[in-house]
This record gives sequence, structure tokens and C-alpha cells, in this order.
Amino acid sequence: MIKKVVVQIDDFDVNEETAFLVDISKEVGGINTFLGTVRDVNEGDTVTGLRLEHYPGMTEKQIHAIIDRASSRWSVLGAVVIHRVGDLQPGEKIVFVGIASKHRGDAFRACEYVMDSLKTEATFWKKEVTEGEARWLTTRQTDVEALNKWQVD
Amino acid sequence: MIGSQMIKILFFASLKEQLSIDALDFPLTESITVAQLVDELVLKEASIDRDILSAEDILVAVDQTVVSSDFLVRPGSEVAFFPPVTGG
Repeated sequence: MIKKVVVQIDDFDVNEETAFLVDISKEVGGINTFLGTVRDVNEGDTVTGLRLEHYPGMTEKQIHAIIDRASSRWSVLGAVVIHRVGDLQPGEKIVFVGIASKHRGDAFRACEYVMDSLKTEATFWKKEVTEGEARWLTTRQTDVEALNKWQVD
Repeated sequence: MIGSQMIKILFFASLKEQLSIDALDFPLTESITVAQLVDELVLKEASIDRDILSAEDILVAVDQTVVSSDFLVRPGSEVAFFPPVTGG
């Protein structure tokens, strides 16, 4: 399996990352990608910006481990995770997850699993700037529930 | 480079802002649990407030792996305190 994990301030090119997954192997038959962007409204307030912080070193290790877990559960030929940090504006890209598999089912499931795990495990923190104030976001129960659905008994 | 009789302590996000400190080097000559380390920090570091550092939702990582409060911290380790994560 080919893994590409990057945490960066700069923007990224979705087409470039998708091409990287296409080029991994002729065995690839399905690629599923997810792109997360900054919303302009959260919990009823207008969001004017977002500041993202991470734990350099640990965050990357966690993402590698999440991809490895996905790969032990589904057939994954290649995985790309790019997460931005620093100051972001509404409409900007935050996160990209792309999974290349032989068949679409594995790509769909592994991509959603990586994204759900990343949201509740990886050491990133968001501070939201709304009109007049900046606030650190807290964990959403729906994100925890999204991860829990992947638990196997 | 951190010596073997020291540990590096890191604080992130809201915790870093509440304590007004992002990192410190702390002397540690023998292994102690995370809970004991919190006691030591509160005792010896003026910037560390117990209520903030031991708030219920605060997570601890030793050498970049999340651990529980009875985990043994060894000299030379990197210890991080942070609030629940909110990435993606």
C-alpha cells in the first residue's frame, strides 16, 4: 500500500492528488475522495475565519495508524490524506482524503472510516472566528457517533 | 535536545491559551505516573493551574501516544496535554 500523509499550511490541488492515486497501480479500479471545506455558518453564527492547530509529529503518526487500520479491514492500494493548518477563510479547502482500491466498495468504506477516525482521534484543534469573538470548538456528539458505527463487536 | 534527566512538556490549543505557556522542560530523575507528574507541575511551576490542567476532558500523550493517568512517565519522555480534538 502507498501512503501519502501531509499536514501543511498551503492549499492543495485535488486533481493532482487524484492523479497520484490513479497512477499508483493498474490494479486500481476505484478511487473515492472526500474534500472538507470551511463553512461560513456554524451553530447559527457567521464564521469569518478558522485557525487550525496541530501536534507536529503525533498528528502524522496518528493518520498513518488510521490508514493502516483501514487497510487491515478493507482492500486499500493507496491512501492520501492532506490536512491544512493555520488561518483559513470560509470556502477554503481544509482536508482531503483519497482511497484507491481494486473495487469501489472498499474505497467508499475505507475513505469514510479514515475521515470519521481523523475527526475524533487526530490531534487537530479548530478555533473559529465569528463576528466579534474567537472560540475553540468542542467535540460534536455526531462525530463520536459517526466513529462508533465502525466498531466491531 | 533534551537530556535524559529532563522531560519535555507541551500544551496545545485552548489549554495553551489558558495556561499562557506552550512548552517547558521539567526535571525528572525517576519514572512517575502521569497523575504524579500533574501534582509535581502544580507544585513547582507557577504557570500551571491544577483546575485547568486536570479538567475532566484534558487528554495526555506520552511520546505521542494517548495514555491514562496511571501511565509511567520516564526521564527523557515528551509529555503533551491537550483538549479533545476537533479536526477534519
